[in-house]
Amino acid sequence: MSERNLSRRSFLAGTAATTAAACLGTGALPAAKALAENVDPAGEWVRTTCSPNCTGACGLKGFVHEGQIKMISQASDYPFEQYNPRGCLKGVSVNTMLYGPHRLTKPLVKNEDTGKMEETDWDTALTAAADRLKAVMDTYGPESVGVIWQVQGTGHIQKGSIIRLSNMMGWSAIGCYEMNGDLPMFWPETFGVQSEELESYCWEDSKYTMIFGSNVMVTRLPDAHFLNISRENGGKVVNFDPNYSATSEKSTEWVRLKPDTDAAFALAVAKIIIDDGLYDENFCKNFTDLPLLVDTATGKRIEAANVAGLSALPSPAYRTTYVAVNAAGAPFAVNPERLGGMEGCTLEYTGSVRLKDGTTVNAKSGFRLLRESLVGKTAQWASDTTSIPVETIERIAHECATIKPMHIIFGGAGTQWYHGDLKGRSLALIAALTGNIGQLGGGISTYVGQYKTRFIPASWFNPPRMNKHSMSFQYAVTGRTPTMQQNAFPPNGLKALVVGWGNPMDQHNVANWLRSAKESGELECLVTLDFQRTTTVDMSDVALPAPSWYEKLELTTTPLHPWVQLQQQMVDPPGEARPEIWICKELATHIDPSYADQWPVFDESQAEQVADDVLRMLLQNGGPYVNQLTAEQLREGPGKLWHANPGEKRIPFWSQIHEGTPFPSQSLPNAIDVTAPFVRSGRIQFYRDEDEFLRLEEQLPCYKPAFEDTEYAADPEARTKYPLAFITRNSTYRVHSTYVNNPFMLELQNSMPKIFMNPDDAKERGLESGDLVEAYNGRGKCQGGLVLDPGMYPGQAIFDQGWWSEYMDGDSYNSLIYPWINPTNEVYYLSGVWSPNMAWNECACNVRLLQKGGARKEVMQ
Amino acid sequence: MRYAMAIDLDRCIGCRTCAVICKDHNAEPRGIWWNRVFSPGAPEYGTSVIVDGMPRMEFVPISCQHCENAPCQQVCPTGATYTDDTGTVLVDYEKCIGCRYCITACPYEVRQFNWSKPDGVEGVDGEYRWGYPEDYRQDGRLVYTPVRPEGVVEKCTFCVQYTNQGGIPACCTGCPANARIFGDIEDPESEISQYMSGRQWLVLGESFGTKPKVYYLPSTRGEGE
Repeated sequence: MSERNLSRRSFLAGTAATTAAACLGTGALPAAKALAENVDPAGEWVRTTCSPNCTGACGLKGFVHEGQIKMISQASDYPFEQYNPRGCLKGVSVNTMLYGPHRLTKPLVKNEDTGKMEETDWDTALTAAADRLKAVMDTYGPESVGVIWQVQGTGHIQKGSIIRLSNMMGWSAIGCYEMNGDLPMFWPETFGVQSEELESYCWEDSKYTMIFGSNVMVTRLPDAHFLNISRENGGKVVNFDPNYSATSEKSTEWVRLKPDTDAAFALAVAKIIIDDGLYDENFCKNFTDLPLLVDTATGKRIEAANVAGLSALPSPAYRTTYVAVNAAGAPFAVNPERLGGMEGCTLEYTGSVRLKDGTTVNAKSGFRLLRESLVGKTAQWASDTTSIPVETIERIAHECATIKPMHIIFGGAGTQWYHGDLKGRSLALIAALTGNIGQLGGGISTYVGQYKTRFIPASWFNPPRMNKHSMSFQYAVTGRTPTMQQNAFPPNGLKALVVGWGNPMDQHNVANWLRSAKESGELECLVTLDFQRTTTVDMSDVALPAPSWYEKLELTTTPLHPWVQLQQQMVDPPGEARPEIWICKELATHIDPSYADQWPVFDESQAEQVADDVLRMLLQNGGPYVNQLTAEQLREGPGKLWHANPGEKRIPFWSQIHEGTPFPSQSLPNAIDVTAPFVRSGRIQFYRDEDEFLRLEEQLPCYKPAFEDTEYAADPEARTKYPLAFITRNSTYRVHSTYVNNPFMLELQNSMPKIFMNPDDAKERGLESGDLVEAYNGRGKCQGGLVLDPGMYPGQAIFDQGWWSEYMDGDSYNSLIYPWINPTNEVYYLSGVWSPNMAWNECACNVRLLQKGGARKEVMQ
Repeated sequence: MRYAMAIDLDRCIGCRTCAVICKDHNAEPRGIWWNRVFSPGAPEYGTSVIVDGMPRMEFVPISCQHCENAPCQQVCPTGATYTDDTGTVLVDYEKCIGCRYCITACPYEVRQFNWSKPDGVEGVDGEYRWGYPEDYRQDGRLVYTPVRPEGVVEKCTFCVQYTNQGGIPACCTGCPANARIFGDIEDPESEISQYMSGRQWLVLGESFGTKPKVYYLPSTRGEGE
């Protein structure tokens, strides 16, 4: 049945009935006969974990027949039944790629004369990689070698090997969480943590869910049904999205808003909650910085140590004792080491405080400053800004304040703007004002990337001789900034790149920097480990073939569920691909034989056994999260991570809200003393008094419009030349650029990159559905078949990211994008936690015709 | 016994995992899809259609409806298409002569003709083929083979290679949203009977008189929630 004649009307024209069908005839199952005339296929099902950095970490099983995987199904062995079956269209068809034309099976070294990659043997390839890397290390220092290893949760043993390698060589680990644009900066700014989230089985416990910037039905596909279950349980799901999406379709309510205006909505909601007295006063007093006093002249918080009659309370150096006022209006020192017991304080205060130096300063509490900052943030103002009707804003404000538990999902499409942190801070304000933090099914979550370290990995990641560095990739493109932390980028720049399981020449080629740096020689060396022949492999100096997740032992976790799982070796990798643990050890000793004592002693044939040894070591030394699990248990199926709170499901910040432990919770693998300075009060901080926040008037959550501080500031003509927002969203057919060459996925999208526009925007440009068009700006261009979507908010050109260049005539969709660095992202530097975040969506463009009707026809008809 | 499938459109998230796992398990050649998911009226997955002034993106998975009154079977001149004891409509690849009358007769357009398309992908060890790796015969009839003969018609078999041995179709085991329920509709205790009990359902194109055994439980989203 084609879409032409399957109209919605004809589909629904069927007769409804309310009883099961009465069917015709009966018949016994001829099982014995069927079996007699058929043979069971030779082979067996083996369990592994699909984990290509989509956050799924789905237990899958493959059927191994004659040394190849022929079919894949979900393992469906999670003890929590609603997690079964877990796995998506991509994962259940990866077998088509394992043996496909892009499989990397032999080491490759670039022929300097022809520029082509040529097959060679392992020793030649390792020697070539080592020589090139050593030359860069000797000339510029080892920290000028950048390392990309995807993200943590996707692997700890094999991917852990490259971290171990980096940590012994003194290379700079590139913070992939922020390089990928996944770091939601409001988390460290507000809670002092890398990020936090409910595991997806908690979604069914929410009675009210608000989703911002996350197409859960597509990008959290194996978790999405928990939103359905929430609805079936009587909960309400409200999706805020400029565009009508699958998530909009599956929500109770879709709220259409202008792109990048979420903060305006959230501030109006906060104002209504405060003005109408719907806020949880005790929560604000006990757990937030809203009662703390600020010196109104300086904008700085007032420290107890400076106040007459008060002194700082005993606490570690990373905390500060601040001041609040009691019911009688007298200031008192607020214990930064203990939350709670503050019900008697005054939340809203305006007055003065006498200091030890004899002066008196005017002071206001954070709550008072917040109320004042929200004066103009009326529902009408928000409606004018967001295009959401006033009555909708007012209704939702009351619903989200009164229906509990209320949970906010704030996704990457929201964070990946220059002012994405302001949105997150504004939404976190709603979660805190309503007292939903620390409750099952409540709070705010961000699901972007499989970044999270969920146990202590030091026993493998840290070699005996540590030489550890990190860098922020964005500075390679922008150059050093006046506001940066000096240790965020190596003094001699990024001169070599070692890539494991990544495709930066497509995925991180912002403003075409990576490709031009490689071509000009500024980037002197590129070494890649992969199982697919990606664009990056083809542009490398040396490429080393690695196994897929069906061909090696690996240990995975994800933020989305509580299960520790193994990838297992079902089959041998084809050709000469070898496990990363062996590759990394060999690369180290090829660079300098003295590194041999930093690795277990093994040859290639023993790599699987050594990986098993590392697995056992990681479990044993991983802390209480995993040390109750055994390798044998994990070979059978998922093992559950330990959590501190009572009950089956982990609750973020439970210890803070229910036991009075100060914020932040620990962001593994970092020690608490490096993240605690982000929230020196030990509280949820909505007020930031660092100079840069004061200068930019971002002390409190606020709204700032898209492009004004970036595209339009850099080029005022961009306002008219590039009137569209270029949005590079995630596709259901890819995980970033993985699966782009999956033949099934290609068929489902006619092997063609597409650009999506609102019909009115297209008409204005004389464009029609089926045209081959090009999105462009002053930095770059990319082409696609035009698809018109009337559910899209006007003013956008959307491109489903992840296509390799070879499918795009050599273009790179990221060539349009520039890594704008927000100075508030530079106030501290801690890789993966507080660091400049990639604002993919902060990109202006226009669209023009390349070829009338040049797009291919849909293959599925 | 009458095998049937219920598809809960409220639960379906439109992800197409059913279509892909079907193709992977049933060795469907390049370009052939026994199982597809449509967004009726929309030009492309992920885009919407305006209904009563508002965008909608309803998802409708469609595969063989395993009709009790199967028009494909009636027009087959060789008896290649037949209904087995479970009510499953099957094609004997060895009897199919490729006349494609059945394709014309089927109002659901779920039957596909194998125009000698490549079966697998060119890869590391020559051609790689996916799918259940052995032939499957029912009463001597070849109802599944991993290497398709050229010029025959193929379609969903309810995964006969599994259901004949007590299993359920790959699309049902593989639906991440648990939107597809399979079983014996004549057994009131079966999962499908229990799931449908008291629920509103409909069949596609009831006016065709085909009596499908794929039942759709319509979405009520947006209607008075």
